[in-house]
Amino acid sequence: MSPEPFRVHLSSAVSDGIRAVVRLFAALGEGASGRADFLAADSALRWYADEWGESRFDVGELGQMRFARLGRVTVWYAVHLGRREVTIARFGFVRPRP
Amino acid sequence: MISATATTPVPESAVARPSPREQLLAIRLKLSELWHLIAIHVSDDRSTAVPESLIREAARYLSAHPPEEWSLTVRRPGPERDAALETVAGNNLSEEDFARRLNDGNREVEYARTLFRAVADLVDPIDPAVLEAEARASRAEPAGKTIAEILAEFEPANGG
Repeated sequence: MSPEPFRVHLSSAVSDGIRAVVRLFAALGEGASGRADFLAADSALRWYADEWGESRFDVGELGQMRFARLGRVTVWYAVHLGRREVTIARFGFVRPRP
Repeated sequence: MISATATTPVPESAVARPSPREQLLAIRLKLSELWHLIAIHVSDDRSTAVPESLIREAARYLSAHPPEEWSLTVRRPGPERDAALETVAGNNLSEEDFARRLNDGNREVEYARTLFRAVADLVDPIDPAVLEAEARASRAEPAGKTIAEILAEFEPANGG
């Protein structure tokens, strides 16, 4: 039996942050690859959030705060293994060197 | 007779140099000051261009302080330090390029915000309490959309 995916929670502020970074990628002429990085990060959060990136500190009932990077997308998130829940704190980006 | 106003030259070697911590604090203070000036300016009217003088001041300051130096003193090695470092180092912080990007319409706001956050991440380590508050907001104020749904807004078929 395959495991259940993690349920991902994100606020309006986080969603606005995603839009801002996607627009930034688009402004740099890298909109498609930027969205692809976000989609891959989304998949990682839903399927192996407890193993991705590195753990940093506990955040009470939210679980464990972790930092991860996929391509040029970075994310701070809390993961609760028992409830299989992910709570996003913020997304960021890494701009490639020219 | 010795003049009352005479001063004894101080050997250059005796002049105290700022410690790494003092230099770091100075960088933090300067960046914070610049960022707040930009934030105040753009929050009033997103269509207003950031003043040229402020852009040049920020560009000069950032150009004069290689981010590689800051990161070594303030962050332990790790992916988030590397990500912040790459973001800053990946930007050509010449005055001209900085000004060109910041003056590119409303994108100036996002660019400045993202770049300065990366700089702040290098010189001012992430505050766990702030991250925790941001995460708690995701439970208290759900966006109502998944990441995939937000990304779909930008697909060409959806006008993105």
